[in-house]
This record gives sequence, structure tokens and C-alpha cells, in this order.
Amino acid sequence: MHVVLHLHWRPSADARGESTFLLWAETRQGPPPGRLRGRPPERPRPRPHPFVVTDGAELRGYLQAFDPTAISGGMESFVLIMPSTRTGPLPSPELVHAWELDRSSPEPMPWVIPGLRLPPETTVRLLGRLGVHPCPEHLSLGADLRFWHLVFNLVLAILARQHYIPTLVAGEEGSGTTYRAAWQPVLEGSAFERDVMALAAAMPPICRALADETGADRQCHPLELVRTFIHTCCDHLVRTWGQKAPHRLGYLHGRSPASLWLKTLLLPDPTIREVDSTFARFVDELRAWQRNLAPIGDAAYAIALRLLPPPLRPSPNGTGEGFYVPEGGWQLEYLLQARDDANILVPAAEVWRGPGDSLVYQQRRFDRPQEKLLAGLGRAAQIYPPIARSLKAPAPTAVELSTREVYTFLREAAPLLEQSGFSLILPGWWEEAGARLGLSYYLTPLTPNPPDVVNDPTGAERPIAYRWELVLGNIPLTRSAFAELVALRSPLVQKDGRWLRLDPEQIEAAEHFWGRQSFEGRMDLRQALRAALSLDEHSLIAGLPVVQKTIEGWLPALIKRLTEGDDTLRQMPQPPNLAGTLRPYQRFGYAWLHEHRHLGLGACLADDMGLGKSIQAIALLLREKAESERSTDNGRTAAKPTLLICPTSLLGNWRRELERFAPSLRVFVHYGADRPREDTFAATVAGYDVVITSYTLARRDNPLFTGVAWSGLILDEAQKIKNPEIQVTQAINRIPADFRLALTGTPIENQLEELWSIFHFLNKGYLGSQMSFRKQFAYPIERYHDPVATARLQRMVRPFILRRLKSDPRVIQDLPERLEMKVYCTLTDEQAELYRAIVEEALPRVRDLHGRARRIHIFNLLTRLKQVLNHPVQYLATTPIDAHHIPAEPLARRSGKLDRLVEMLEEVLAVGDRALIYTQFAETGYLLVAHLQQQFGVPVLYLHGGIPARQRQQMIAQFQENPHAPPLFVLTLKTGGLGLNLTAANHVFHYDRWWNPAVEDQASDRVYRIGQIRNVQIHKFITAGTVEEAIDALIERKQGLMGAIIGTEESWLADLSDEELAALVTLSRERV
Amino acid sequence: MATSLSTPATSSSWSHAWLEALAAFSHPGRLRRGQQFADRRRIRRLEIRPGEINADVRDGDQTYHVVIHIPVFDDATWEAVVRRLASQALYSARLLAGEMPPEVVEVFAEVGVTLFPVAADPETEPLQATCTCPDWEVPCKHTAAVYYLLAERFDEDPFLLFLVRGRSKEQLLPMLRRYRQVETAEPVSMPVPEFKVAPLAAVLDRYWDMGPSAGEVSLRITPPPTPFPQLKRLGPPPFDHLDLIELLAPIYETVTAQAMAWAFQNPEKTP
Repeated sequence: MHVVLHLHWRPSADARGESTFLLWAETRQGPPPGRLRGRPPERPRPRPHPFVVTDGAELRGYLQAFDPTAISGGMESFVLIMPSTRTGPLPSPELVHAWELDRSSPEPMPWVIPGLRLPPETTVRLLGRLGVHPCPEHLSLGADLRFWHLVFNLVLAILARQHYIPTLVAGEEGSGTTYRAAWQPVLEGSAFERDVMALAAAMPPICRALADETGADRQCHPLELVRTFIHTCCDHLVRTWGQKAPHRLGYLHGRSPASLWLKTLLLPDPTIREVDSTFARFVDELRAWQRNLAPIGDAAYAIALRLLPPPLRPSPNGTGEGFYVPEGGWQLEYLLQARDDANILVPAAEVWRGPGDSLVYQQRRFDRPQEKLLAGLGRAAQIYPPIARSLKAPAPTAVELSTREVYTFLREAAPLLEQSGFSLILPGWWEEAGARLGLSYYLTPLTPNPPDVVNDPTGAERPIAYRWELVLGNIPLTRSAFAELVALRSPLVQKDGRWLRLDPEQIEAAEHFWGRQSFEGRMDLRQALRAALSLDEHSLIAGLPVVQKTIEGWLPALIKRLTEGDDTLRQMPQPPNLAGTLRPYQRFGYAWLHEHRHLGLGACLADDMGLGKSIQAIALLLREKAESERSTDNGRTAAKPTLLICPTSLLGNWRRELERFAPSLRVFVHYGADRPREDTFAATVAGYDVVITSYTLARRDNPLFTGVAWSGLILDEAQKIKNPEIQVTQAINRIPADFRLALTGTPIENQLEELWSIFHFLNKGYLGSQMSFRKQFAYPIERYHDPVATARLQRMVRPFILRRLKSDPRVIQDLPERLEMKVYCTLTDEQAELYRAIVEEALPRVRDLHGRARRIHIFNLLTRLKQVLNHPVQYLATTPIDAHHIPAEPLARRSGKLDRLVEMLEEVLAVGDRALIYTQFAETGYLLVAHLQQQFGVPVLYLHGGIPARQRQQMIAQFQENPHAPPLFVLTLKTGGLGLNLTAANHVFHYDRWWNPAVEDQASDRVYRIGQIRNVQIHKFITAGTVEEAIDALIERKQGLMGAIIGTEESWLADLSDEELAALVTLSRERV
Repeated sequence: MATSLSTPATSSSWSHAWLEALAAFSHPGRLRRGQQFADRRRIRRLEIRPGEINADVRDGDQTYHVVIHIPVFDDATWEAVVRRLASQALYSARLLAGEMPPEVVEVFAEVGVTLFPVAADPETEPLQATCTCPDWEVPCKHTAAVYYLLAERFDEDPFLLFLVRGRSKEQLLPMLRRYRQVETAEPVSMPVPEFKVAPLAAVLDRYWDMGPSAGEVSLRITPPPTPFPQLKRLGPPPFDHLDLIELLAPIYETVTAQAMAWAFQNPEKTP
């Protein structure tokens, strides 16, 4: 079952109307939408939407999947205008379905949609939980729901920042006027106003597609929808949360209108009825008062306030040591400032001197300047009362302020005045971090060179000294100097002609700091990197900002080398005994890994699929062996093996890659029923350089692995440990090793915590505890796109993650345009059993046959083997498999190729690429489509012989041209192998092999042809140790003679001798 | 009398000052009777002109006519008052914004007159009221009712006090402007950024798409740098002497804490 949830916000059209949140859902259950005949009507009437959930109880169930206690209202039908074709409304891109729909030239048409009415409390709880709780698997969130979730996050920010006021809203009820006590956001003039505009501009059109019951567009304005949504949510949340506050509104005496208003603000029903004339006057008064929030000034110019410090004087004690507090003499000047040129400033004296109606100053015209300045100053005096002192004079130009007043002005009044439309010209030091109390941090390496854990395992302990200093204006403060400073009891002080500020909370933090922190000590390289990269100008240590960071010795160069690379890395040669040539970017990757290995740091190689992560790791293994042999020769340590953990489906691939590129390495695969047990394991692995095993066995045989001292621990497809809670992650984290390496094409698939989990494996503690990582990084970045947290995390992880993309210019020049790879997959036990049984049963029978009969039997044998290798279900099925007959049993973990395909497609989809998947069996295609749709929750296209020509064209055009088209396209080799242009894909998967490589090449050429602008990757799947591998080897050997010997069909197989056939099909003992 | 000179604490106290002034030369019980009798529906007509107030008051079947005379100030007095008002930027700023600063009472005192009628006024009667009703008590309940209604009207529009004394708002403000050379204040309209909305038919191809500007919204959900910023911008309310910040602070603080808790809540463990 698959359902897409939607939320519609319908604000009331007038004062009487009611605002409503409506939850509705698309569903793929039910028959496919039918086709309309004839010409569509000129003004279509709304008709029932054909694939939405109509049952209120079902909708309630989806709602309760997020919030079990959710309360909802009744059902209500409403009309939305949607892009529609002859098959009705087009579904949202999130809906997974197998319908064949007309998608040509959609027209706007109205559809009646049954929705579940949600009270505000339910809506806010739902939106509050969306970002926090994982979405249940059978549900997807529509673009509208995701959009309102974004707006809701803005509501939380507005509330946290207290950008709202209590107010009264007039309404109507029956015949009389009523009022509603409401909490209203104040966005004008604040940074939130820009966010509101950006959100309104980003609104998906479905959010404003409301029509009336005749089908006429209600013309909802995005800005209005966003504003009313924010108003409704703010009002509801403050009212609800405010009830929990220890407020004293209930104690208000009297029956004055103001008391009535204030008491009503927190009532569930905020309506004030039966109002008398006194109340009407109160409303006028309230409105006049709230006009204080309107911006002041003129469209052409602003009222400016400029703060001038008193003239500087040398410190009275003359030594320059002490801090000095001037008593007063500050001037806050009044000016007019042109809006189009901030440098044009008219002093108030000019304003008073000139005529009242208009003033020309530096070719600028200022209309009614005296009156605007006066009105502005009146408002400013309300926000900052000392200004009122100057207003007793007939023509005020400035007010003189004391030092303490200036501090309050800068700290509290200035931001408020700014929001009220004043332009503030303040001294630069006020915002300077250097003019405040802060901490200065020093990292000083104590060794001449970075640590090298390979050559000097003991030298790596705490080689870096750290030191904190309390500073004010770059002047280090001793404890006694700080005490003297505090004794001045002034928030602003002067030293050597500079102004410095002392915020009371900072003084408190500093006092705390003296008491608690250790001011100096030593740390290891990992801690030093963490400190060096995580501290920035936004960091607060015990409440104090870090104003200065001094990193000394070899540390800055090392950070640069790990983060950006340097010539040391770029010029390192590849290991001599590597059987193959590393491309330049691979050589860099190898050098980068080697660097981490020597520094004793874990590293993650996260190159795009197809860039050769494994060959870079193999190069490191070769180097590791050479170095350990050298040190063994010196008699220092015994050679230790490296453990490589990968998904079961990749065991064979790794063995073959190691054999091919590093024949000198002794490789042991720990897999299968006959694998060594506790008594023999340690002795067995001691004789090897590399031990390969699967994630499953790393968990199941965990005690075996934790009992060995490994040189290295390498995880391939390291995203398998993205969940820190699961057993396999915890088991792997228990395995000891001198170095740790993670290989993955998708370091983060869904959540940032996956990154934490990988780092926990690589460099435990570097990203803090899981809890602190959530608060510091995961939530601010994922939920609110916090730029500061994002930049900090990027800076911290960059030295440890090397990720190159196919499109990367440094890579693209080294990369062939067409990259062919064989993907060796592992047979599952179920497949192996079936396979053996088929071979054992068929071989003796073929032996006695000749001619056509022999040919037919061999052909049958091969077909059955191929079916088993594609999927056991395909072989075992008793009825033919097609779109309507997909076996209900689970498909995962039964076919090595299918599991591997899913793993690789995860990476394809993660980077937004598209792929073609070829098979020679139509049944395989149906299984693939069903499984991939279910795995990825995206629709999958399928082109096979049964699809009519016109529909084929549409399918291909959709895949090529529509940005929303399904990214995966399954094709049968016969139907989709020739003539088509499918350059929108850049990956081709050959799920099963065709014995004639020319046919495969033709299929691959659908993607690699004119119009293709990216590198193309072709993945040929081979099940290791089976007939697929044997035939692949045969093709490779006879490539040159192919036409002559193999021909174009499988007919040549019949001419094989009994021995040749047996060798071809018998399961190899080392099947991984 | 000192009481009538007292400065209203807020603009809503114009009625208090007016009634206090009347109380000084009226029978307190009779004046209070007017309060119960003062009802907008009972008073059919209320005309305020320089020096004279006319009202029709319905009592049972009868309608009585009330006339109140208050002496107007002469031109010289008004000139002096306006010059003084213009000499302080604060008064001008408020008056031009349509607000009556409570301190204007002091300005009248400075030129030797009282804005509210005072019994001790040596030269003229402070105020003469006549009613067509048979009641010979002064003030009769009809007159007292008109006094109360006037009090309400003065709160709504304090400039009516000036009108009674001989100058309308329309006459006074140009005088003030002449002295200050300023024009009438009106609300500023700031330029509004343009926001174009494409018709639905034109956006069917991106009907389900979030626009790129959604990426521009980056939120830091934190408490405000200074607490209660918007209440501070509003300033103290003009009614009931309320300290709104003190009253509402617990609510604002709780809401901030709740919003932060919602924003940074941990997912519940799924069994």
C-alpha cells in the first residue's frame, strides 16, 4: 500500500468565515484511472478525484501514524485545480503506481477532494512531528505538506525570538461586532519579513489551487496564504503554551476593557462579545497605541541617529596599563539620511534652519523634513526615554548621554529603533568581537614533525600543547587585571584610545572561567584537530567567544594537506607492485589514505561510484604490506593482517579485484559453512595479508574478530553502519585495529547522524557524543539549515572525508568517457542449492544425447541456471510472472545480483543520476520493477515486448524530457536494445549476460551516443563461480575470434563436448 | 484650584480632569446622578461650538434642551499658547501626530489662563448651564448627564477642549505649523517589494515543485538578544497604568522555552 499525504490551508475569505486545515491523500489502491473520450468541456465542472482516500477513518489512521493522540474533525469536500489529461488529474511525483497515464499537454481542471478537517492543535502537532519522527514507510509527504512544514519552522523561530504582540481583531457574529483577543506576529522591518517573501515565492502551486464549487479559481495569493498561516499558528501556539506559564493575568482586578482583553488572551475561546461603547473606545486607543510599531521616516529618507563618543583623552595614570572610564560627553545626533545613498546625511540643524515644506540638500529633495524629524524623535523617545530630554528645546539636534546610558542605548534600544525604521550610525567597535571579553586559544606542537604511528608508535601521545587566555581588546588579562577591570563597574571602558565593552553576562562567564577551566595542558592530534577546526568566531566556551585562535608549528600545514591536499600528496608514486596504473586522482586518494594511516587517523574515501575506491584501498594494502615487511625485517613487529568487511554480495568482487591488482597479497575469505571456528581462526588468518568477510559474519563471528590484533580494518559500503543502534555497528566498533578506513559512495543517505556513526567508527569522539552531535549539528542543519553549524561541520569533517564526483573537473579529465565494469556477485545458499541440483540432474542426461535433442537440452539447462541466478523465485514460480502475478514472497536476500543491484542503485539515486537496467527475461523485468519500486518508493518504468508502440514512444519521451520522470528504467534486451535514444541515463546495468557482447554493446550504446554529456558507466553483473563467470572468461579469451566461434546465438553451446560443458556449468568450489 | 490644574497622567484621563474641575463647583451627589443618566441613546443631540455646547436630553416623554456656556480665550491668549507649544519640539511632535500631550495644561497655566473651567476664576463665571426642565437644582440631572457625555468625548478627541475654548484643531494646527513651519503628519508608506503571481495554467509543469527560494530561508531558532523586543517597541500602553512587560513576561518566556523544546526535540524511540 502506498499513500501520499497532503495538507491544504484554506484561510477564511472574510471576517465571518472560518479558516481550515484539510488533510487529504492520494492512494494507488483502486482501479487505474479511466480514459476520457471526446473533447473536454470549455468550462469543466468539478468531478470527484479518481485516486484519493475517501474514507475518513483511513485518513485518521494516517494522521495517527505521526501522532497517536491526534484529534480530527469531520470530512469536508473541497475543489482543487490540478494539471489534468485524458486520464484525469496527474498524480503527484511522490505517488508510486504502475498506471499507464496520458501525460501529454496537461490542462487545469477542477477536482473534488474529500479532506479531513484538522483543528489547529492537531495541525501544529503534526507539523511539529514531521521533522522529528521518521515518516512511516507506507506514507510519502506531498510537496504541499512539506512546504507548510517549512513555514511552520519559521513560526517556531518567530515565537522563540518573541516577535509577536497581543492585539484585538475585529470580527462579526450574528448582527453585532465582536472582537477576538489574538497574538499576532510582527514581521515588518525584521529579518523574518525576507523569509516570508522567500517562502511565498517558493510555494508549490498546489497550495494555491483552491477553486469554488463551480470550479472557478479562487485566486489565492501566496503571500496572503503564508501570512495567514503564520498568524493562525502563532496565535494558537502562544495561547496554548501561555496557559502553562506562571502568569498573573487571572489576578487582574476591575472590569475595565483592558483587563477583559488581557484575560481573554489565553482563553480557548478568545471572542469578546457584548461590547459596549467603552470597549469600542478602548479598541481605538489600543489601535492608536499599536501604530507605534509602524515604520517611521519617509519613502525617500530615513531618520538617522548617529552616536559620537567623547573626545579621546590619554589614560589619567599615564602608564597605558589601566582602563579608563570617561563619565559622559557622548552625543547622539539627529539626522536625515537619503535612502538611495547612505552617505547623504542632513544634520538636524539644517532641517530646522530651512523651510518646513521641503529641503534641498546635496541635490536631494527632502519633503516635510521638520515634521518627519519631529514625529520620528517623538517615537524614538518612547523607545529610548533619554531622547525626550532634548525635545524640550525648540530645535533639538542631539542629546548628550552618559556612558551608562550609551551602553543601554547600544545594547537594548538600537536594535528596536532599527526595526522601527530608524537608521543607526554606530561606532564600529560596538559589533567588533575584538572589543569584547573573549578567549584566545593557542595550539603548539611540541614535536618537530607530525606523529607517525607506523614508525614510532609511542611518539603519538599528546604531542600538542594547548593554552587559553582571557583577553579584552587583544590585551591578555591576568586575574588581578581582570579584578581591577570589574571594580570600575562600567560597561564601557577605554584603553589606549580604544573603546571596549564589558557585558555583565560576560563578566560573569569570565569569573566562572577562572574558577573552572584548566588553562593549559596537552592533547593528541585528533583532539587538536577537533579544537582547531571546531572553534570559530561563533564558538562560545563557557559563555565567552573565542576571539583569537593561534595554531603553530606543523599543524596549519598538516590541516591544509588533509583538507585540500598539497604537493607531498600529489607527487607520491603508486606502490611498485600494483598490477595496474592508478589514475592521477586515484594516486592522490591513495597518498591521502597513506597520510592518515601514518598519522593514526581514520579516513573515509567517499568517491562517486565507478571512480575506483577499491583500487585506491588495494594500493594502500600493498604499501602497508611493504612497510610491515620492512619493519618485520628489522625485527620490530610481526606482520598483522588487515580485515576487510563488505556486503556478502561483494565478497567475490573483492577477491577478484585483489587477485587482479595485487597478486602478491595473500587473501583469505572468511565465508561459508566450512569457515574456520574459534580454535583455528587466529592461526588461519595469521598466514594472510588480507581477510575478507561480510557484515553478517562480522556480527555473528564477532568474538573471532575481536580476538585478533588487526593491522587495519576496512569497511566497504560503510553506510551499512550508518545506524549506531544496530548490532552490526556495535559489533564492528568492538574490533581493534591500528587503522580504520571507510569506503562508501553515499556517506550520508538520509540523516546527518549517519555521518556521526561512521566517524564514531573512524575517529571515536571526534564529533562528540551522539547527543551533543544532534543538538550541535544534526537538528540545526537538517531542520533549520543553520549556516553556522553547517560551515563548522563541513570544516571539521573535510580533513577526514575525500569525496570526488564524476563531474569534478579534476576527475573528469582522467576518466574515460565510457567506463565498463564487471560486478561480481555472491551466490546465496538458496541459489547454490538449486543450482547444484539442476546441474546434477541435467548433466548425465545430456551426455547420451546428440544433435538437435542435445542442443535443446543444453539450452534448457542454461535457461534454468540463468533463472536461478537472476532470482530463485523466477525459477520456482509455478505460474508465469507478469504485472498482475508477482509472487507475494519477499525477494530480498535471495539473489546475490538483486541485492547488489539495490546497493548500487542507492548510490545512483543518491546523486540524482538515472539508470537503464537490461535483462533478457521479461519475468525478471517484472520482478525487478516490483522490488525496486518497493525498495526505493519511486516509480520504475518498464519497456518490454508487450507494450504498444505509441506508449513506448511516450515512455521514452517522458524519461528523456520530464525532470520528474522515474529515474530507473528496466528494459528487455530484445525490445530496448536497439534504436532508442536514452541519453538521460548515464548508468547501464546488464543484470544478466548475453553471450554475444555485440548485443550488449548495442544496448549500452542507447546511453553512450550523441547527446550524452556525462561519463557513462556500464555495469555487467556476473555471479561468481557460476556459468556466468565461466562464459565471461570464455568470451574474454576468444574476443578476437568471436564472430567465427560464438556466432550470434547460443547455438555454439551445443557443440561443446561433455567435459567442456561440465567445466562450464559446474559450480566452482570457491564461489566467492 | 490645584485639582483642576493637575496634569492628566495619560490621555485617557482628560475625562477625569474635566469631571474633577466640575466637581469643584458642583454638588457632588447631583453630578454623580448624571453618570447614571448619561446614555448615548438618551442624549439626542450634542453640538460643541466655541464657547457653547447645545444638547437635547430625553427624559421619559419629555425632551429638555441644555445649553452650556464656557468663556472662549481671546486671540492674544491663543497666540501666546501656540507660541509656547511650538517652542517645545515634544509638544509639536505629539500634537501634529494627532495626540494631545497631557502637559499642555501647564502651557495654558504659563500664559495665565486655565484650560478647564475653574470656580476661582475672578473675572468671569467659570461656566453657565441652563436646562429647560422644571428642576431648579444646579446642575440638574440632564445637565450633569451632558457633562459626563462631554467627558467621554474629550477622551476620544481632546482637541474638542480647544474648540470649546475658541480654536478648532483645523485652526490650531496651521497656526502651530506657521510657528514651526511644518506640515501635517501622515503615516509613511514604505515601498513594498513587488510580488508576481503567475496564473495556475502557466505553472502546471511545476505544479508540485518547491521554488528555489525555499533554500534561502535559514533559521536560527534562538531566544531574542534582548527580551520582549516588540513590547519594548510598543512602549507602555495608554490604558489602566499597566506594566504590560511585567504582566506578560512569564508568557513570553514560556513560549520561547516551548518553541525551543519543539524545535530541538528528540525523536521518540520506535519499538
